[in-house]
Amino acid sequence: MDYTSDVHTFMASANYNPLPGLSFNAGASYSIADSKIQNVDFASDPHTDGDRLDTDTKWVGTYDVANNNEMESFSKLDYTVWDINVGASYAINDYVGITVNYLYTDVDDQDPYVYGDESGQYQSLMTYLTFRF
Amino acid sequence: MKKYIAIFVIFALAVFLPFGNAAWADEDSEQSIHVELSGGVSINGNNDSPNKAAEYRSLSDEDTVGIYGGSVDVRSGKIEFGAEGRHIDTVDQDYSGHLDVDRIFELHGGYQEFLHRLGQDELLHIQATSAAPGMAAQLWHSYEYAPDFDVNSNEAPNKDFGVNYEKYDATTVLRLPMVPGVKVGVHYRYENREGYQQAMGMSKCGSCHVVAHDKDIDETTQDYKPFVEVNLGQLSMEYSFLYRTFDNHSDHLNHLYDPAVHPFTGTWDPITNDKYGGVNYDYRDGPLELSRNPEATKTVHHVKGKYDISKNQSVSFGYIHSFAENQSADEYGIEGHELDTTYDAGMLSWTANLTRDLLVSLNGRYQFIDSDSADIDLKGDSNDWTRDSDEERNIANVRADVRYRLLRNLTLRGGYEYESDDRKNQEFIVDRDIKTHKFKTKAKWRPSSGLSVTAGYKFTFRDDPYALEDAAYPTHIELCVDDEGNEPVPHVGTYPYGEYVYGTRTHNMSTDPEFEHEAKMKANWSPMDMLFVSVYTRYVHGVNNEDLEYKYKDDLLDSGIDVTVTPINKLSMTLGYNYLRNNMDSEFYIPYYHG
Amino acid sequence: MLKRVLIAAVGLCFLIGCQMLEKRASIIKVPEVAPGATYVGSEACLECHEDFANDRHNNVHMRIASFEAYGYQHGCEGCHGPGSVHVDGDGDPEKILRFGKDGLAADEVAGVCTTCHQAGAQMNWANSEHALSDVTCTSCHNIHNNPEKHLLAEKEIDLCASCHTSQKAKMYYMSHHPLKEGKMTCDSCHEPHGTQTGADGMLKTDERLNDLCLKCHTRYQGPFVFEHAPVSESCLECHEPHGTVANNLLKQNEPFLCLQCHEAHFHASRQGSVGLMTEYKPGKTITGTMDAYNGLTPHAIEGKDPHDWSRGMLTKCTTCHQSIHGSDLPSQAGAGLGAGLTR
Repeated sequence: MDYTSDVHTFMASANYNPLPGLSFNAGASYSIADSKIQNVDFASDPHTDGDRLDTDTKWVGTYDVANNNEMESFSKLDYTVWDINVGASYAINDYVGITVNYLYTDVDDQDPYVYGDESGQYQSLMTYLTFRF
Repeated sequence: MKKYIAIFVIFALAVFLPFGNAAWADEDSEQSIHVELSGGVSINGNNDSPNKAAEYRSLSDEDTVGIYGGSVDVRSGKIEFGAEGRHIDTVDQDYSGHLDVDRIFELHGGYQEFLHRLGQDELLHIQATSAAPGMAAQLWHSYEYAPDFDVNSNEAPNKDFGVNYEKYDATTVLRLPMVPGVKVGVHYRYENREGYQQAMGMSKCGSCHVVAHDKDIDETTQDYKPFVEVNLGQLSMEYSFLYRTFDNHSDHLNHLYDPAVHPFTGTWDPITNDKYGGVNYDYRDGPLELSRNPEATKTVHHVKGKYDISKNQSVSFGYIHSFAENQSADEYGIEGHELDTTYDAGMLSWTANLTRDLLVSLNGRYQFIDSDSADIDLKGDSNDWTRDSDEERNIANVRADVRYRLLRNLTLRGGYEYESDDRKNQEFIVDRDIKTHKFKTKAKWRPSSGLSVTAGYKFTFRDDPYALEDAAYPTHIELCVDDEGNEPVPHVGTYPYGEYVYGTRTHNMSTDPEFEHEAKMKANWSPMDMLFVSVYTRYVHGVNNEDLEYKYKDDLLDSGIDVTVTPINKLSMTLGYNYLRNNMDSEFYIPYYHG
Repeated sequence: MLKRVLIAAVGLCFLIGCQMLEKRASIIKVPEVAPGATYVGSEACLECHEDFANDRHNNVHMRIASFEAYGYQHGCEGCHGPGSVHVDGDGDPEKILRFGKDGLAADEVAGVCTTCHQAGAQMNWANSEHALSDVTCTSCHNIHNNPEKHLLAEKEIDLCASCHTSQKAKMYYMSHHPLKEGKMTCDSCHEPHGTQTGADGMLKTDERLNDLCLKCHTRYQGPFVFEHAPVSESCLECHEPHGTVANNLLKQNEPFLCLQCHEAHFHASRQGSVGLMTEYKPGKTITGTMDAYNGLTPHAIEGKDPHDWSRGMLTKCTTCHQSIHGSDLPSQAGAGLGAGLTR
């Protein structure tokens, strides 16, 4: 039995200050991840009355290690995450400035685990005035 | 007494006066006040589950929220005061401040609060079924069997699991002009966690039924840490004392077991209607507590110092003594005493630039850990046993590092580290004394002004790596006959299941590599001022088949590239990519019993 | 008599201490680049370097009191060395200590800073991993006209991530400490100036690795009545603190993580039922009696997944063994003699 995790992460950011008092910033990341158990392959080896692995059987009491061959799917994880932030700041004059920031996160849970589907999106637009004395 | 005070004052003046001018010679008569106030609004939105998308963000719970912040910076002669803060939400705040009075008295601290959302195990995977011959199948492990599973319908309807973290810390420092080189201070930290999380219990009812509850979290950690730092020329020393408390004000969580759901004291054969054996050792009715974190205290005495023999040579040393105590162990009838762990460690290191190009560093450290045993007294005499602590051990560590500048643009490094971890009580592991050898080598080369390449290799050899002894693969079951002549199931009370079934396991299992190779490479290239490229890769390969019936393997590849472009002075962009692949190969053991 | 001796001894120590501080300044000093140079004072520097005039607002080095670095020059020349030859040479850059690209080597830069920063967090700089890797003070700190906290060259996470890019990527994994959200920083756990222990990772603890984690995660301090051996070994047996794919910062998801050291429960091989089954629901039986199980009676339902036992036991071990870090409460199953960590 082995376990494999594969993660790709892309990141980008930028800062731009075209004028004194004016600045822009942006950042983004995109992450693709999956992890899973692999290569679980038990040969059927029953010890009770010759019953084989047969999903139609009504008699339970059959212990067969081959019943575990499905377990690879129980704890598989597969998700993508987007993280984006964009912001701008402008000093109107020496005493007043304005700032705007936008945050966005998107989680896409493609193989929910015991916590249910954890897919979700979150976004927030913040804007505020700054007064300097 | 008055005489002593007079002597002290005269002495203080005698020492103080020569420094009087020096202390205030740099007086800055400038005065300034800068204030910034911010106010605004945050418009928020979320879809589906916020648990991961907004794991540490509280705002997704509200559509529109006012946000506030600001800073103040005051300088007036010898006094400097600054503070800043932001308030995004009642559970998302950040404040910090500092006060400096002529460099004699300094105070800095901060307050922070944030939310951590937690997930909820839906227990939908716990739906196993079974049937005896001639009977309709029964639903065991049923989440529906315990009606209070549904956490949204119990005491706290529609509760979202999460914990509010609240932290406050402050450090005060006093430097007295008349005693230069001496600094005394105290650090205080307060951390509080409040909220709810899911707690699951599994006991009594055949150890098959899982129930879930809301668990109230109300925990506080406090640190008090006075310290004194003394610089006596080439010798610098510091002493600190830490007193830590962990208080748990959470409600005690209980699951109620009553006669109506009282499990059989044994196994019931539906055909013969016989009851025999038993899976649990305790079938009493009433509340059974679960999921409780014990209160604890910890004290630490730490002395450390450094002696600068010359500009190029120094020796540092330290000793630490810590005592951690579980304040709640005696609540559960564990022999009526608190469990504690004592830790002592001493270290010594020497570092020298033997020549302009050669640096050598030698380090040694020895640690002693003593931890109480616990006498376990479960219901029934045959269930008594003594739990010796896994923590008890002596650890010796020595390390040597050498750095040699072979050429102006080529630096070589080598190092060796040896560690002996001698456990006192670990009865479950294969070998109590684990010896680890690490060999490291590294080279840094700058072939041209815009290019540098670093490559390193580390080899680790663990003699008898950490492994669980007899973890798997029972070869047989010691069958027994009970007092009534029933067989073959070994039952609790007379024949401990743990001994007659688990006790026949024969294969060891491990998750630590015996041999580990790690190779790293990084290249930074800047062909022109506006472009910087960094490429890196790290590969780790570990194997272990020491005392194992299989070969454990662990492969890790971690690589990436970063590109930073600055086409004009005002614009900077960075692109990066990272790839991580980890493959671990272990053995899956599953036993085959009587069923 | 004893009190007099103590007072005299303490006084003598102070006086000797002052002498020793002066002696230190004569031994541990900045490199000499201009033989015969003398100190001219910071005002002389500012005549040419006017852009540093406002530096004192942010730069604590310009506000150091004499008793803090006793025996050493304060102001600009405290770091850049005596400036008389530099001034007389019309600002000859070769006659003053420089810290930039064409200036002092990494070791020499650290040698200047540690003339004063020899204690506290910087006490173990000399044999730290950063020092041995030719990372120097000015690699991370930008002393002049810098409003950043601790005079860092940029925001802490961006600064550390500029070299430790792999750890930066892990911040974006599904399970992570709140670094990218700004609730923690790298120095919450790491001491970039070096530590007494010399352990890998320059962790901010003078004890064992676990004690660093327990500073915040104090609920696992214990010691517990029922222990879990790998917890005593190291938190890193199971966790990777920078970021992981699996929840709870686990290196691998359950059950694989646990199955590396433990065999599975044998019931996981049991086949579940298909066809008609019994489910317990509120209500009475056909005969009108109540079932013993608290008013719930059996009802026939459709068959379930034949792998339901395997799913129940090979999905998440901590569904049942929730107190995996240790517990004072005994589990009830006899087989484990209380140590099953299910309570």
